[in-house]
Order: sequence, then C-alpha cells, then structure tokens
Amino acid sequence: MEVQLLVTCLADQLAPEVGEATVDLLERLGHRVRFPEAQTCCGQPAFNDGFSAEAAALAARTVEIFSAPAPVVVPSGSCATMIRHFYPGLLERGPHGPAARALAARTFELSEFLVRVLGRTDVGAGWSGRVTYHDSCHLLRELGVRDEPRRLLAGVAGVELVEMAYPEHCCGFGGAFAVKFPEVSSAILDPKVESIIATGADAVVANDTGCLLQLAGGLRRRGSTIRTLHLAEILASQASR
Amino acid sequence: MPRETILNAVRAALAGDRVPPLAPIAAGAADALDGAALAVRFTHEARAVGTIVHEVGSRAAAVDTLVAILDAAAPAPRVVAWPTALARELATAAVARIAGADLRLVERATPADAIAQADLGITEADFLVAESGTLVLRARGRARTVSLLPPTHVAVVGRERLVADLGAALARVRAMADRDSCLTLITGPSRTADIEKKLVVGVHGPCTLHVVLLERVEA
Amino acid sequence: MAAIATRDFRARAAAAAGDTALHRKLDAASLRFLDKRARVFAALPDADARRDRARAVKAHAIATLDTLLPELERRFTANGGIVHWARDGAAACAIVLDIAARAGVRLVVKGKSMVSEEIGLNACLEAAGIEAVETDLGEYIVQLAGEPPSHIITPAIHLSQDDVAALFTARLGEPLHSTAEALTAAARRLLRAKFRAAGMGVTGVNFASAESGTLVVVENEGNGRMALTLPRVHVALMGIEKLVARDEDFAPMLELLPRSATGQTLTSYVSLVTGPRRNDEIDGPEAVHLVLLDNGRTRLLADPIMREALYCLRCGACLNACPVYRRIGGHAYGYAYSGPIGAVIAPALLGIERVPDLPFASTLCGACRDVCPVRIDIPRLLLAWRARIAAAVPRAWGERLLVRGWRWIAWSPRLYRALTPIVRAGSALVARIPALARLAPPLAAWRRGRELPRAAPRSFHERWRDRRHGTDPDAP
Repeated sequence: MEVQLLVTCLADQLAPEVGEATVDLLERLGHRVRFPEAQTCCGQPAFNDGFSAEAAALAARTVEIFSAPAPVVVPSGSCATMIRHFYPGLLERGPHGPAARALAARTFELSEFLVRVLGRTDVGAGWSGRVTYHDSCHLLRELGVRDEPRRLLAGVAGVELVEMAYPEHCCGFGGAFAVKFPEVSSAILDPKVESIIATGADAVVANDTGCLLQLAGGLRRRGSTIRTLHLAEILASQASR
Repeated sequence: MPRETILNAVRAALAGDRVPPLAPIAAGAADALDGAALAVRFTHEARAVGTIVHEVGSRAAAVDTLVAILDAAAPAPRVVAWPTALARELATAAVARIAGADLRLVERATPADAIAQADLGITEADFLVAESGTLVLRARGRARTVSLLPPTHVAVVGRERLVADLGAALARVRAMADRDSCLTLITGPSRTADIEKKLVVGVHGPCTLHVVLLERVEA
Repeated sequence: MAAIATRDFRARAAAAAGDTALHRKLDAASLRFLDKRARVFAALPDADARRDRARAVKAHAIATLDTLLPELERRFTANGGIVHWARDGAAACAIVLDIAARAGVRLVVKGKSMVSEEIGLNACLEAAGIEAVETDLGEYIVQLAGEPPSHIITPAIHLSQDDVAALFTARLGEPLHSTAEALTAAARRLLRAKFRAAGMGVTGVNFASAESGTLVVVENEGNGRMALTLPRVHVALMGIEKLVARDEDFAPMLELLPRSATGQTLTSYVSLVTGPRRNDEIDGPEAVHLVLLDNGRTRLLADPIMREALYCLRCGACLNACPVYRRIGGHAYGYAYSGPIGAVIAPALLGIERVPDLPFASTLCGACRDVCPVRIDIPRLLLAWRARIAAAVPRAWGERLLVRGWRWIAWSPRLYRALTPIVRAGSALVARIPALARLAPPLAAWRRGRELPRAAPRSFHERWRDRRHGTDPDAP
C-alpha cells in the first residue's frame, strides 16, 4: 500500500537515519512511501508550552500537507499522539476540524502500524546483539503501545531483549521541560541511565527521537558506549540474516 | 452568611448541569462463597496483615485458646472485656482459670486510664469481612477503647458473622434498626511505615490482634 | 494562613534535583508504594471497572453537591453533630479556635488532615496559646522538625531513620534510638500522655455520605481513633468535595483508597462517625463538629475542565508515580498539596499568578493518570493550565520569541528548510567550542546534565531529495 511518512522535525534535523530506516523498512515490506516535502513540525512544542494559537496554526498546516488519503506513519509516539489525540480538539472549531479528525484516524506510530495495521511481527530483520527497550511515555500511555515494539524486537534474528528496571519510567525529556527544568530533567535521567547500563545491553532502543537524544546525552556524559537506536534502525537492519 | 455564600457558589457552578442517576452498587463475586470458603478467605487475608487467627470448633476450645493468649500476654493479666454475651462468657471462663488474673467487664463509662492499664482487651466482632480480613465493631453498649488502648486486642466471633466483602458488611449494619455514633473497621494491628518505610506495629493502637473464630457459637 | 512559598519553585526544584540523598529516600518509599500498588491492583478482580465505578461515584457526588451538602448538614445535625461552613482557611481556623475557646481547650491532639495543613491550623492554634500536637507518626516527626509534610501519605518521606533519631534526641531529650521500632515506641509513650490530656481531637475526613451524615476516617496507626474517641470534643475538617451521595458508596471507595495509597487491601483502622456519643454508649466525644471548607473549591467546581480535580481521594499515588516528584520531593512545591495533583489544584486554590511554574513542572508522561483510582486526567489538566497561563501571565521575552518564531519558521517549508544549514553550522561550532553553548540558554541548560546532540550532516529532507533526485511532486 501507499503510506505517507511524517518524519518529525527532531529526526529530520538531528537523526535523519531514523527516517531513512523507516523508509527502507516500509519499502522492503513492499509499500510505497510518500514523503510530503512541505512537512515541518507538528506543533507539539508550542502546544505543550501552552501556546495554543501557534500550535493550532502548525496543526492546520500539517493537516493540509497530509491531506492525501494514505495512512500516515510516524516514527514517534509523541508526534503521533499530538495528531491523534490533540489535533481534533485543537482544530475542532475551525475549518480544519473534519480533516483533523480524518487525519487522526489514519495516523499511526511505526510499531503500531507494523503490528496492528499490517499484522507483521517478523519484518525479516537481523541485528546481532543485546538490546533493552525504553517505553516512551506517549507511546505507552497515550497510544497504549507496550507489546508491539517488544514483539517486533523478538522477531529480529540475533537480537536478545533484556528488560531494564522500570522500562516504563520517564527518561525526563519532556520536550521544553528538558531545558526549562534542566536539573530536574537530568536528575530523572540518572536512574534511567543507570538501569540501562545495568542490563549490560549493547544498545538501548526507543521509538522516539526525543527520548533517544536524552538517553544518548546521559549515556555519553557517563562515558558509556551503549548505543541509542530507534526501533526503525534495528528493524531496517539485515546485518546477520 | 458563609453557608449561603458557599451554597450559592455551588449552585451557580452547577447551574444547568444534568446529572445521570447513579447505578446501585452490585454485589461482589465473593458473595457466592459459602461459610467454609469465607472462613478460609478471611483467615488468609487476616494473617496476611498480621492478625493471629485461631480457628476453634467449640466454646470449650475457644476458652482454651483464650487462656493460652492470656498466659502469653502477662503474668496475672489484667483483662477488660465487652459485656456482650459471647465475650462475657468466654472471658469469664478463661480468666477464672488463671491465678491472679483480673477481669473487668466494661458496662458503663470507665476512665480511659483504667482501660489503658489493661494488658488485654476482649471484644466481639459484629461482622468479619472475608475479602479484606476485617473486623467490624459496633459501639452501642460497648466501649470503643477496649479495642484501642490495651496492647493486645482479642476479638471473639462465630463463623456465622462472616460476610463476603465490605459492601456486604456495611449493608448489614445499615439494615440494623439503631445507628451507632461510630462503627469501627479493624484490619490487623496498629501499624506505621513512616520511618524509612519500615513496618512497625503497635504505634498507638494494639501491637497484637487475635481473632478467635468459632465454628459454632451455639452450645 | 498556611505558609505558602510557591514563588521560588524553580530554585527549590533545581536545588532538590541535586540532592542525591533526598532521591534515595524518595525512591525507597515511592517505588515501594508503586510496586505494592501494582501488585494489589493486579490481584483485584475487575480493577478497571472498579476505578470506573469510583470515578462515577465521585462525578455524581460533585455534580450534585448543591443538594448533597444541605442533606449532609441536615443528617449530621439530626445525629447530634454541629455543622460549620468556612469560606476560606482563615474562617475555618477561626471556627476551630472558637470551638476550643468555648470548650476551654488548652491542648489539641490531631489526626492526619491535609485540610489542616492547607489552612495552617497549627500555627493559628499556637498563636492563640493552644498547644496542637500532631499524632500521626510522620506528622509528629515533621512537626518536631518544624517542617511541613512533604508527601500526602508519608509526611516524613524526606527524612531518614538517622534524621528522625537525631531529631528525637535534640527536641525530646530521648536517648539516641537506633531503630524505627524504638523511635515508634518513644512516640507511642510520649503521645499517650497527650491523648489522655487533650480536650479536643481534630481529624480530617476521607469520605462523608449525605444519606446518613456519616464521616469516614481512614488510618493505620490508631491515632485517628484516639483523636475521635478520647477527647470530649471532636472537630472534623472536611473539604466540600469529600462527599458521596450514599452509604453504599463507601465500600467501592474504601476498596481503592488504601490500595492506591499504600498497597494495602484496607488500612488497619476505618472509623465511620455519625455524631457524638449516644446515651447508651460508653465512650466517645460529647460533641462532634464538622467544618465544611470551600477555600477555592467552588472555583474548581465552576470550571468545567478542572472540575474533575475535585474527584481526588488524596491517595498520593500520583506523587509516587511522578518522575518529577521523585526527584524534587514535596517541599519544592511550597504547598500542602504537591506532586501532579498539587500542580493541578494549587493554581485553582491559590491563583495562577502565585504558581505560574507549577503546571510546567511535568514531562506529561501520564504515569499519574495511570495510577489515579478515579482516573483524573492530570496531563490534560496540566496542559489546560499551561494554555491559560500562557494567555494570562507574561512569559519571558526569550521564550515568546522562541515559540512565536518557531511558529513562523515551521509555517513555511522554505524557511524551515533554510534553517537546516544554520542549525548544522551552529551545532558544529558548539561542538568545536563548547563554551559557545552559554550564549544559547536552552543549549546551556541541556548541557548541565547531558551531552548535546549533534545536528546531522544532511537532514532527512536533504537525504530524501538525494534518494529521489528531487522528483517529489509535492516539492514547492
């Protein structure tokens, strides 16, 4: 089928390999990927900071840009949540209301799309090593996605999944929170990094670029060599197949 | 008038709200259990919170158990007890068997100090809640302090007082003609974990809670 | 009024975030509560349906407060109790003082009451020369320390056993006790004397039913029972939101409150008080007063979005679940109610001008909503406060510039894509000369606990064009 990729501004600027991996993976599974090049930012930073008008403007833009009927795949639980749960309310009074609801209904986070929509848990990937999975908060609690990424990881040849202590605890990123309350954000990150290191994993996997930047920053600050990988990167890899 | 000010604010805040009626609270699944199963559940839950449950078959066995509890509590134990039929009978019989033991049936207003100085208080539970291991104690004609001030509390009760869950127990109390000024639910000994989450029993209330559960109360 | 020090929230939060000893104490308690809570909820049949039912019970009660409050008053009065209404904290304190003065009370023993903390009752009693003694062990400890409680359920969560031992030695002249058991025994002995001598007991109220005028007091230590049994006067302090319609609503609420708060099936003691001692009763108080407190609650009630905050049972589960609370503790919030629910109700009870930062002190992770027994959607309420604060309270110009500027940049695909080389150049420059991060406050903030990410050599937009040779028909 045809799918539209919403790559997210964070991945676009700071982790484009996440977008490339998502495209590689979806194409390998036989899907046609469209990337509407007018896309920028979904508006979540403004929304979470209380700037509703600014958020609504960017939401309306995004609704227009993704007006094609194909499902929208987002390699981020957080941005997918923004579109699914917050766009309809934010735009309900304006002319974009119906389109926002329609977009919400066809927008999926990547792992959710693979397992729930496509029914795939084995995507023919191979990646050799021990990984631990961090539940990003919006993916887990707003979209209710807990098992899907783990089932996908279990389907990857060569991957050993080790659970960290409290994988569902927040990493402390929280968007603007990370810079508004930097000391608190870092203090929340500390036990998360410790529990990742304690697993002895080669890589920590998450489905949100924001969490991964936070985790990478904490791991590097401690001199850890544990890699931070988006789930898409593991699923796109065929290293040991 | 603050009353009118508050109520007016409440009315203004709720103006125009339509409120759907509240469904009645349905009986829980534990209601289906029979007496023996309720006793098993009660005993399990009560022990889990540190209550010492003694299951006895007869009044004679209950008196034996009570004698053992009194013996262990103190030499020449001072006992305060409710004047209810079962508590009075068992306490009287047990105390009579221990040299130097003293029994005070608390039938009228008694200084709290006198009750606090007892080694042991004996009450009779009106109901037992199987699902949570809870004793339900009414206040009418019974001193609330007997289950509170002495370091050890013993409740005697027959199996027929078992009910499945808290909802059932409170419903039975509501069905009674008289209302007490206070109904007390007791689930285990007095406890705290306020210092570094370390469990310590016997903060203000009893350190030890016994339940003597009789299979049959009838002679 | 209670000491409310909400202004310096940011500074206090930052300081607490660096206090690793505090983190250890908070983790030890909060994670233990969370784990126990998870276990008992897993063992509770139909837990989700029970939460729905508890929410429905509270929603119904809050939506019918206009009839339930007068009904409670009528019933409780008929039971022989005395009902007082207090518009705010000062009025509530004045009512309690008046009751104490009329009864000639010099010593008050207190069960745990968050409303009492909210209205600052102890300071008020002491100013009038009346000794007020907290009797919940945790509350007693923080009172001795001269501090407010830092957790709704575990007031002394921020103190270690050694801290408490030193405090008992310094303030009470106790020999240096080394164990929690010995410290607890000392408190038992010292407080027994207070219970015996007190003329008045003050408690909170966890639930009250309008149907019968019954007040429910939930506790573990027995100090609540002491306070509502031994003194000749019992004063119960209650926020008007604690009502439920019917007696049959107690059981479903009692099933969830202890499980959520401490992971217990039920607390050691639950007292259901309908009024003063009856003629045919042997003990209990001669007079029972019920103080109904508004103090901003009707503002929450009038607010259709925030109203659900009134469903709160004060179980403290959201504090334990909150990653922010577990790193800054309750004192940083500067108010009786801390953690996620505190950040929701403080702006309503105190006014947003006084707590403009609190609703932002959340990663919006949603763990609070997951554990809330009445499913209060705390993240949504925090977002709603943020929107109101953004509209009402002027923000730093830098933040406005950033958000508004981003809105215009992201509005235009051309501007957005033009930004890429600038981000890249800036990132490379900061990587080479880290001190430059100081010129950009967000970067400097990030670097405090983490390494900065590097911008990618080519953005995804650029890579996509590489892949498709610029053939995308949507390209403007």
